[in-house]
Amino acid sequence: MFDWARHWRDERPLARVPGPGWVVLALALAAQVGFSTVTPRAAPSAADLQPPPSIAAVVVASLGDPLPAAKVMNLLLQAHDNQPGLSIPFTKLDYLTVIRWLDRIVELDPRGPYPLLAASRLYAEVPDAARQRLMLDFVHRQFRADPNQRWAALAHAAYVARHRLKDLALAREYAQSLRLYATGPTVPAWARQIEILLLADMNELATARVLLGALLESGQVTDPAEFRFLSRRLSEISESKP
Amino acid sequence: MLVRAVATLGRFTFIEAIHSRVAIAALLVIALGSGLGQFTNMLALTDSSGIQVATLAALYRLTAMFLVCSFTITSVVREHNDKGLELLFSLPLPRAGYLLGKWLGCTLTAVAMAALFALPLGLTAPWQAVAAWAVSLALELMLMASASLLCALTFTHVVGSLAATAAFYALARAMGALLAIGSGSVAPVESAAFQAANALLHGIAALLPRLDLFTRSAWLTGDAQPFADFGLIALQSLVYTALLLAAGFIDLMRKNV
Repeated sequence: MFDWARHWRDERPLARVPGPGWVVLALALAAQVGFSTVTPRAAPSAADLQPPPSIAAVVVASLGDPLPAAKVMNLLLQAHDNQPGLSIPFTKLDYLTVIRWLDRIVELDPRGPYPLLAASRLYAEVPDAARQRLMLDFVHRQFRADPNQRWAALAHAAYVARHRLKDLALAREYAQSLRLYATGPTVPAWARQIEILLLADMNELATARVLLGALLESGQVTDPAEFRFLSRRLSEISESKP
Repeated sequence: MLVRAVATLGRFTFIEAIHSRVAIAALLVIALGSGLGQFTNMLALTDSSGIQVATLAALYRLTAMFLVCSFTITSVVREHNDKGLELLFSLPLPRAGYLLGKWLGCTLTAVAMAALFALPLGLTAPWQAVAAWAVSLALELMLMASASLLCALTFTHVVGSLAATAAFYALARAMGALLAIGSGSVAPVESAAFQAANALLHGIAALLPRLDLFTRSAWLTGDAQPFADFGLIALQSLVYTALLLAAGFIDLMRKNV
């Protein structure tokens, strides 16, 4: 290990460095900071989102360990058209490309909850019915591949279909899928009974409170970041629909 | 006197690079790369030349970087361990002269490497794009040779210096992606810890060179204008090389040799 204490002890004093050395260092440092300030890095825009890399490309690039690459792909995808301060993000994104990315991430990391959570709670929240339907369809399709792991995303998709799209038939279709396929012991009973909640004459806030509240209280959400994110969502809905 | 000493040291450093078989290693990688390029060319259904040139450009850039940085580090560390540095400093040679001489030799090696690796790319990409790629690679290698020089003078160990140089290069290249990830609206922007981490990240980014501007494969495939950012690349090379050499000079002046 590098012995810093000895290194500094054996050095000659700083006073031995000629003044011009310090001047050049200070000027170059100031020039570098100035250069960085006047040439800001462009934030990734919606148009920058290219189709996802193939599985083979990800495997090669990650030297045979694609799982970390899939995790990073979640964050990279999320950075597109998602600038803080914009009240309506994602509206310029090509949702077909986003779905290809999400599909690819699920293929690389089938147990990871991130793509389904992002699809149902970020990308399906845009005020654009066509985009919402695309994202809900993705969630439903991926739910069918592993219902007992992905039921929470479909439960939220049913809520979006009922209260955002005002499409009761679609909401009931998702609720029925939950009842029929999410039958594992880890799935709480209320998730299978969501159909009753959707049919009841409850407003959006009340439904969201019941669904999110039940999800948070069920102990199914163990990740602190996800818990914070869902709690924030609940308070945002409460504030927007008093 | 100083100019002659710098030129002599630079020439001998360049000769040392030739003797250290850096060029042979580069030629071997070029030969292997040609085979790999032909293989990808045969597999591709379309855009075969684009796939071939982009794959080879990335391989050649990384190889050139590794060869130039490892040569610079091993050369300086060997001189330190063999007491060659003490011998040099017993001569009427200013320490700045030694630093500039080593830097000149390493820069000549960088230019030769860039030219060597650019030649095979000229077979599959337009010459203007290859020329821009080669000049940019030479500047990037010069900058990284300066960083390697500083690391080798500071750590005087091969492994530590190589690790520090590799970390510096990876961070400078990936900083754009890291900043983009941290700028999303779902980030916990109200959290003090996040704000502190984000401010630290931006501070580090301001001190790192914009290597993401350099040596882009998109120039070779026709997806970006080769000379669009050349002024910025030249300015960044100049500023950051001066910064690294100033830091290296201060470190060298403090050495108790």
